[in-house]
This record gives sequence, structure tokens and C-alpha cells, in this order.
Amino acid sequence: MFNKSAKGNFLDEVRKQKALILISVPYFVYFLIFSYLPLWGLTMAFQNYKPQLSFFEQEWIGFTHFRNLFTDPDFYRVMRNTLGMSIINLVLSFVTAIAFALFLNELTGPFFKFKRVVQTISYMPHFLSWIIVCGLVSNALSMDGGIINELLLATGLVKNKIHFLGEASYFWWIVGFTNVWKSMGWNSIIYLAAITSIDPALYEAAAIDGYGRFGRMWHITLPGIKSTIIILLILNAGWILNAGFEVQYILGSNGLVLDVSETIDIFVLKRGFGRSGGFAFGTAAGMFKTVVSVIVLTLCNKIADWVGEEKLI
Amino acid sequence: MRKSFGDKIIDGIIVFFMAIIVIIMVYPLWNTLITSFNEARDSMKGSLYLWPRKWTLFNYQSVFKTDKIFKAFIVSVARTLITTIVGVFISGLFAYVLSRKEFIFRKFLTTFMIMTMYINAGLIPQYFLYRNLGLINNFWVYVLPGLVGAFNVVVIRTYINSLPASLVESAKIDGASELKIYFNIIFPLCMPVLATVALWVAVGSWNSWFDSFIFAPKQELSTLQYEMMKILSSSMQSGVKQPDYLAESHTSRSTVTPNSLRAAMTMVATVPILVVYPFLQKYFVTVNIGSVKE
Amino acid sequence: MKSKRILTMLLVAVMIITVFSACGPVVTSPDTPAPTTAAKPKDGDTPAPGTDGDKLEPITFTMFVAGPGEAPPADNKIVQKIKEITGVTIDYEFLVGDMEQKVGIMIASGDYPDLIGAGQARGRFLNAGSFAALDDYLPNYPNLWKHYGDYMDRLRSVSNDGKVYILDIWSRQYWLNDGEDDFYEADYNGPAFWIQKDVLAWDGYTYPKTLDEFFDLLERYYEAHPTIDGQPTLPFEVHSQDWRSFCLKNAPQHLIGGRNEGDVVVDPDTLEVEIYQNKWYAKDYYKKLNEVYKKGLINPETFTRNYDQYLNVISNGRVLAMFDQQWNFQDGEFVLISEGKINRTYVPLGISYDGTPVPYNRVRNEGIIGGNGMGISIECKDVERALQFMDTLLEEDVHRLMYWGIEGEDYYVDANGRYRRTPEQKANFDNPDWRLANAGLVIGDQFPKLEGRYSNGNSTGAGTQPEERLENQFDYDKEFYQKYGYYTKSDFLPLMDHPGYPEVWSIFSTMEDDNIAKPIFDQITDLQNRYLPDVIMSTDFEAAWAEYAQRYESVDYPALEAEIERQIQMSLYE
Repeated sequence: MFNKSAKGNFLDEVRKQKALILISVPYFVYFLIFSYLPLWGLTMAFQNYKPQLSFFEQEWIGFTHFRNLFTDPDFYRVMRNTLGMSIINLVLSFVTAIAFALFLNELTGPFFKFKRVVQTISYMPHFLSWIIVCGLVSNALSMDGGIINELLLATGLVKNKIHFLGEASYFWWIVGFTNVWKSMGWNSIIYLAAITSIDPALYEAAAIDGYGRFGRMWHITLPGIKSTIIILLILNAGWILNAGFEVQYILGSNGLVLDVSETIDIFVLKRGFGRSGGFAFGTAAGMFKTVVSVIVLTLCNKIADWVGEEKLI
Repeated sequence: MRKSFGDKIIDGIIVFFMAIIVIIMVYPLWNTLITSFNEARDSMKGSLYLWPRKWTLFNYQSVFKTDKIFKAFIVSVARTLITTIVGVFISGLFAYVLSRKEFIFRKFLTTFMIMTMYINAGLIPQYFLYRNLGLINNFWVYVLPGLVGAFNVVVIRTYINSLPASLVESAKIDGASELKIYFNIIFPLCMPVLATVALWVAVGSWNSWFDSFIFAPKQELSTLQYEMMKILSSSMQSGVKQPDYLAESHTSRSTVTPNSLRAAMTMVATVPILVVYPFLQKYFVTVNIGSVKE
Repeated sequence: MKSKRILTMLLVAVMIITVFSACGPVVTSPDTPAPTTAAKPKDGDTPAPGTDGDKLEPITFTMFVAGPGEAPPADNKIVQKIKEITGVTIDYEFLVGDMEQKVGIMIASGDYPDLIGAGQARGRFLNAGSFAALDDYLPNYPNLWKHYGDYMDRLRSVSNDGKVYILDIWSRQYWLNDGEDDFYEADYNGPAFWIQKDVLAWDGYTYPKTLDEFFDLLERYYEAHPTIDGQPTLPFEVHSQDWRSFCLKNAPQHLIGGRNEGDVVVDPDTLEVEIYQNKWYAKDYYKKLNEVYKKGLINPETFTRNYDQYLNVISNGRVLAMFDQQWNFQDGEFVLISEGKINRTYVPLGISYDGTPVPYNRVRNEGIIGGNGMGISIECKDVERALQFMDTLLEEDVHRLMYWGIEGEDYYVDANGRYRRTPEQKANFDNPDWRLANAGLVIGDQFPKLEGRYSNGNSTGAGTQPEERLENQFDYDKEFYQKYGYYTKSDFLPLMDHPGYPEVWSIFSTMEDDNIAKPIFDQITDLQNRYLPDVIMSTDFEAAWAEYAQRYESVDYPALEAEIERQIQMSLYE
């Protein structure tokens, strides 16, 4: 009885939402074809994959690749590095991009033109390749006339030059701030867009209530873009194991910092390099990363739900 | 609204910090610019900070030495325009659908879509898929795979959710169709976020070279970025063993290094796309909800 | 709920269908590289091999080269001439991004081009059976047979089934008188302790023969010249970035007289293989580096300098010496040359432990070694036509077009019948963009070619033409070499006979994918890269070395040694 009526309700709903369903079908098919169909390739993770052989000729080796991944003596070191840099990057890039957007939003009236200039310039580094940006970073940090060391000496903050890139304890932070340099402006764009959805009347009301500039930023602007922040935070948390590999590879492939610079992506590339097994090993590592993503995503989504914020799903 | 004295001080502080940020942020591109106009071998000596030491146009000549680059430029513009325009429209539509709280498949479709961000089947199955779809060495391989991005849809959906729900409801009561609501009400209100997504899609499409490398290596389909990667990688030859038959006297000034080429290429590839943003900026203003309602 | 289940089932069904229908590569089992089916021209009028009397039907071959390069424009005059002669157009695709991905996809999909420049991907292609066997074809092509006939065993030695798949494109030498031409060998550009000429000249043209003498000289020169052109002098650089860390690691093998094998030394008599990074001759070397580091002869930043910064300091003339391979720092030297600082360029030193100069890697040319070239893919539309094309390229007239150009335009013949170039012609050739648009080197570089001398005595390229080379030598260099009684910088090293097997590091690129040596090799590479800089910079050398050596013992390197021994035995020349 109950089932039947539920089913009836369901069909009713389907009928009512015919238009929405019809619109959704092509999207469903699109994602099915372009993202889900190729998933048969995940079988590679369980094969001694050789590209010259067809699917049926491959040798199945069970969880060997996963065992190799998890029992590698370096695995925990690269996981530590990955998580460390990922969290630093996540926090730094969110805080800086949001703060930048908030302050940019304060440039009004006579500074409106200036605002556009700042905005346009701030997103320029995003277009430079990592190799250019990292080259500039190494030059700036160099002991051989690098501007950072020269400034520190000139201001008397240090007595001897610091070997920034040869000191393991600095490395994660160098990567973090390099990321900020390259992406802060770019990352702030979405917040600037989100700010536009805030009703101007709210600011006027706040002004009447006696809120100052910072009060309005804190009580109006920030809450106004909160849902965007939360959603982006959840999405990015899902990529917790993608700490990148280019920066770390370019800045950190010297013996003095290798211990802290290798991320899981570099590790997988290295282990897979020069052998066709690399594809399979990479696939296995990719599956591991997907599992972690799903767990983190679900957790964050739950947390957002508990605290009553906008959910992802 | 007149600004108080305190406000003016705050303005001053903000402007001051923004000016510093401008200097820090403009420097990488500036350094790339002067490197691109400096003689390659001279650049190798380093300490090139504010102004070129030995001017040359040779780095740019090396980029533009054949007409391949111009053809590739057209392909790049085409793929970027098509992907951006079509992509933004249809991503927005799907975002609208997923923003409808009462939609029965909303949860399922959202999950289904978001998962695509975190799963990665790998390159080989992707190649087989495209081959079966006839996309190898086909212009549409530049457009189709990136048309609807889950990330973009989620971002647009979040924006739509922040709009007053009453907009859609009152339109429904008026008997408007879903497509009509999307095009007449949601789309104009979403201009800021759509402009953002357009920027993301355009920049992504413009900058990518990997899809040419793997899926469309045919010369006619070469893109600007791929063509530049080709020039760049061939200039790296000097890092490998030099063939013995070249009796170079090495006094010649007409030479390039990977770094000087990279600088010139970055300028060539970046300037066209940099222009897009100021153009999109005009959509970054608060939309008057009242005006759409009427 | 139910709708969800239906969708899931649908999804599973679609995926299963795809697995069975979509994913099979065009299967070509490696042991039947059927040349007969692929090679036959359509209508059976096979052009007579080797001769190209009649007008040839135009044909385009696609070619993938697993290395960097740039395709010539279609209006390149030499490319056009060669097209007129052979009817062949080559449609090149050079590698741009990651080799593993590109080659992996090519193999998995079976979408091969007609021709493949194997490069570093040769092992990948060979193991996948991507090439057509050429044993039966080669005798039909006179020039190719003359080129390879004597070397068939070496060509075969690279493949697992003993057939010829890869045609070497380098090092087939045609000399007039054996041995006599050795003087004209190209400048040595391999590994050595390279030292600025000015340092040796300052010391009265001495030749340091041991590490002690070498670092002593650097120390004295450094004291006398704390700065060079206003910038601090860097007495000794140890570059250690990424794959270029051979600058850090490879010196010990030479200090005991070995060739450049990479991470092992090979006993010349017994062919026994030894990993050396934990042996006494490595320890003594790093101990010396540690000692001079403490004296300030090595700047700590040398370990963190990226490649650009390394070239920076070299091109500023501030680096007195380093262990490196010349091609790795030559871009920095070019800057010094273009600024006339010839005294800041480098010569190699054959430093050894026992004080007699050793050859480092100055090895007498062994000709074709096998595996270093290009192959014809199993998908090639016309194997015979491709071979005929290559046969034609080996004609002296055609070769001259590619490597000298057109007489009167790109070079001239002097009264003695010698090929010479005017300064303007030289300047053209020096310009890489001009070369791409007007010279035929791009074709020549990808295919078998003549090296050494033409039958009229001229060199097969301007770079090895003696008159041209001497003319290019700077006065400073001429005088400098004369002080030692030498002609070129190569003479600073004694010449070594070829030991009869390929350099060990190159064996790795033809090894099968799952060879046990590879993971072990990765482990020791990792270990060395991570520990050696610390060892050099440590305050307590013995303790640092002990820790490193102890870590080394946890790696199963004897298995690696045994495997390399086996590989050397397999690839020994007859």
C-alpha cells in the first residue's frame, strides 16, 4: 500500500518535472560517456599492464601495485609531504584570496579605476608557467645577490645570508608562498563575482547601525560570500592529495631538501618512469587518491551539514 | 555618502598595500617581457632586473619564423571561442537545473557530476574513447571534453542558490517554462559568475597544449600553445649532445636559448588572453534584481 | 530509489559493453612483423631497389621522432631537391611532451606512423614489436648494404629475437686511411674535471694530475683572485639538480681510469661489474670535496642552484673548475666566447688517483654500436620505398646536399678541390633559424648518413673539415694548446680503445620493462642524490659517510651488478 502510493508520488513528480528531467538527460549522457566510460581503464591497476597487449592478453596480478605503493619505504614520507604542503597551500591560498577580494571591494568611489587596474595586474602571474615563476623565486631567494637576502641584510633582520632553498624547514612555506604569488589574484576573481550578489541595501542598513568599514566587511561582505567559500573549500579539500608536482620538482630536486619536497605525484612519476608498468602503477595510485577524495569530500559535506552551511551535495 | 576622516585613512592604507601588491604581481610578467627583448646569450648571465641590456627582436623572430604560428593562432581562437560560448551557456543551464531544490534527481545528478572531478581513468582508455568517437585528429576533440565542467557547474549553482528563491517561484506561477526562466531571469542575474566561468574556460582552453600533443598532433590542427611547445622543445636540443658536423664559431648574435624563447612565447600567448579580463570586468557589478523581476 | 538502481545497472551495462568492444588495441603480435603484407606497393610495379631511373611516384611518409626537433618548412630548398630526386616527403612529428605517455599510447593503440626515430624510446618500441624486421631487405640496397653489411651482428644485438629492427643513424665512419684521420676527431665534449684556461696559464701552463694538485691550484688561484670581473670567484662547482646530478656522482669511476659507464665500473679484463658509490675511491673523492668545502672552495649554494643559475655563474666566468660533461655547460661557454673571454673557457684534465692522466671518456670511435637510430614501423605503407629513400640519402651527391648544401650558394670548392665556406655562408649556417629554413640537416639527422670522408677526401660535414676547424680556432687557443704541444682541447686526455660493449648507462634504455635492475637502480640513485650533498657539507665526514654507507647496505645492489654483467655479456661486440 505504502509502496504503491510512494511510487505513485514518484511518478507524479516525474511527470511534473518532465522539463527538468529532459534537460538533464544530455548532461547525464555526456558525463557517462566522457568520464565514466573510460573507467574500464582502472582495471589496469590490477594488471601487469603492457600496452602492446590487448585487454584479454594482459596478465592479472591482483593488488600487487597497491602493495608496492603502500609498502614502499618512501610512501609515508611522500604522504607526509603531500598532506603538509596541501594544507599549507589550502589555508594560505584561501585566506589570501578572500582577504584580497575583500580589500579590493573596498576600493570604491575615486579608487574605482585603480581597483580595475589592481585586479587585472594581480591575475597576471597566473599566466606564467611554473618554470618562469620558480626561476624568479630561486633568484630572489639566492644568496648570490637575491633580493630577499639583500633586503634582510640591509634591514638588519639577519646577520648572515640564509640558504633558503637548501634548508628543509623552509621548503613547504616557500612552496606555499610561491603558490600565493602565482594564484592569489586569479583565485580572488570568484569571490569578487560572489560579492556582486550581495544586496547593496544591506550595506546602507549596516552604516545606519553604526558599523565601520571593517565591521561591514566582517558582518556583511564575508557572510555574503560564505556559501561560495564553503563550497570551494569542500571541493578543494577533495584534492587534498594533489599538492602539485611542478613547483616541488623545479625548486626541490636537490639533495638538501629532497626529503621534504617529494609529493605523491612526483613519487608515482619516478617509480613509474622508464617502464610500461608506470601506467598501471599510476592508475593504482590514482585509484588510491580517488578513494581519499571521496572520503574527505563526504566528511566535509557532512561537517557543512552539521554546522548548517551550504552543502555540496 | 561622504567619507569620514577615519575612512580616508583606511582608504589610504588599503591603497598603499594594493600598490605594493601591484608591484609584486606585475614583476614576473615585466621580467618576462624584458627577457624577451634581451639577447639570449646575454640573458644567460643573469641579473636582468628592470630593463633589457642588449635589445633584440630575434627571440620574437624565432617565434614567428614560419606561418605555422598564424594558422595555429586561428585554431586557438576558434577552439577558445566555441568552447567558452557554448560551455558557459550549457553549464549555466545545468547549474540552474541542479539548483532546483525540489528536483527529484538533483542529489543523484549532483553526485554523479561531482565524482567526475575526482576520478581519473588515465590516458590510454581516454584515447580509445576518443578514437571510437572519431575525435582523434579532429577539431572537436578541443571542444567536447571540456564543454561542461563539474567545478564550473557547482560554482554557478552556488551563485544561483544565493539569489532569492522567490524569483523562480513567482515565474513558475506566471507559467513560464524552465528554459524561459533560465534565459530570461537566471541568466541575466548570473552575469558576474558566468563571466568568471567564461574566463576560466577561455583561459583553460587557450592555454592547453596537451590535447594537441596526444589527441590531435596533425599540423592543420596545431594550436598556438602546441606550436610554441614545439619550438621550445626543439631549442632544448642544445642541452643534449650537439652533432659534430656543425662548425659553429659561436660568435653569432642570432641565437636563442630555451629561456629567451620561453619569454617571447609567454608574451605572444599571454597578451591576447590578458585582454579578455578587462572586457569581462564590466559584468562584475551588482545586478539589480528588481529590474529583472519586472 | 528504483530509478537510481536502474541508472546504475545501465551504467554497468554500458561499461561492460565498452570493455569488450572499444578497448582492444589493433593487435599485432610481436613475432609476426609481417613485412610482406605491409610492404607491397599497390599495383605491383615495384620500383627496382637502389636505382631510381624513372620518375618516382610521390609518396609521403609520416615519421615520429622520440626526441626534440623541428620540422623544416615545405619550401626549404634542400627538402624540395630531395623530394625531386626521391619523390619522398617526410611528415615529421617530434616529441614535445612526456615520452612515456606519447609512446605508451602509440603502442597501446597501434596507431604507428610509417617511420620511427627511436631515440630513448627504443626499448619501449622494441619490446612492443613495433618495428618491421629488415634482415631480408637490406642486402637488396647497395648503399645500405655497404653501410651496414659488416655490422649486422651489432644491429641484431639490441633485439631479443636477433633480428634487425633499428638502423643506426650515427657513427658509420668512412675514413680514407684508417687511424690517420683521428686527429680530426671532433672536440671532446664528455666528462672530465674541466678547468679554466686562465687558471692553468696563471700557474705557468701546468697540468695538475691528482686531486690534491688540482684543488691546491684552485686554492692558490682563488687566493690571488678572490673576485672575477667584480663578482666573487667560485672555485669549484658541484651541480646536482635532478638528472644532471651526474656532475655530483660520476667522477670516481674516472679517477681510477674507467670510461663513462654511469653508476658502475667494469673490470676491463674480467668484465665484472661493481657499484662504486660506496667504495674507497668514491669515499676518498667525497672526503676531498668535504675538505675543500670546509676551506670554502665549494659554495654551499652550488647544491641548490638550478640549471639556469649554473649556466649564469659559468657564463659570468666566475667558476674556476667543475666536474661535468662539456655539452652540459657549453651554453655558458658560448656566452664567454661571444664576449671574447676565451681565457675563461675550459679544458679537460685527466686527473687520476695514481697521477698518470687517464682518458675519462675519450674513446676511439667504434662505429656502429647498435640501437642508436630509427626503424620502420609495422604499419609502414611501403617498406621497400622507405628503404630505397634511405639508400638514396647515402649517395654522396645527395648527402652533400644535406650537409654542405648547394655548391656556389652554401659552400664553394677552392683550387685544391677542397670545400670551403665564405664568412657569410658560415654565418648563415650558424643561425639555427636559417638552417631550418634552408639546410637539409633536418632530414639527414633522422636517417642513416655518411660520416668521415667523401671519396674525394673532403669531410662529410663542415664541422669535421680540417681547414674549417683550424680557421675557427681562436688565437688564444692556438697559443694555449701550443704551450702543451697540443692541437685541440681533446689532446688533454689520452685516447682509449673501445672496450667492446656499449656504455652501461645506455643499456638501461633497451632493458625490458620489468627488469629487476630498474627498481634497484632507482633506489641507489635516490640514496646518492639525497645523501651525497649532506656528506660533502657535513662537519663530521666520517659519521656522515658511515650513515650513508649503512643505508647503502640495505639495498640489494649485488643483484643489480649481476644483472648488468649479464647484459654486458649479451651485448658484447664480436
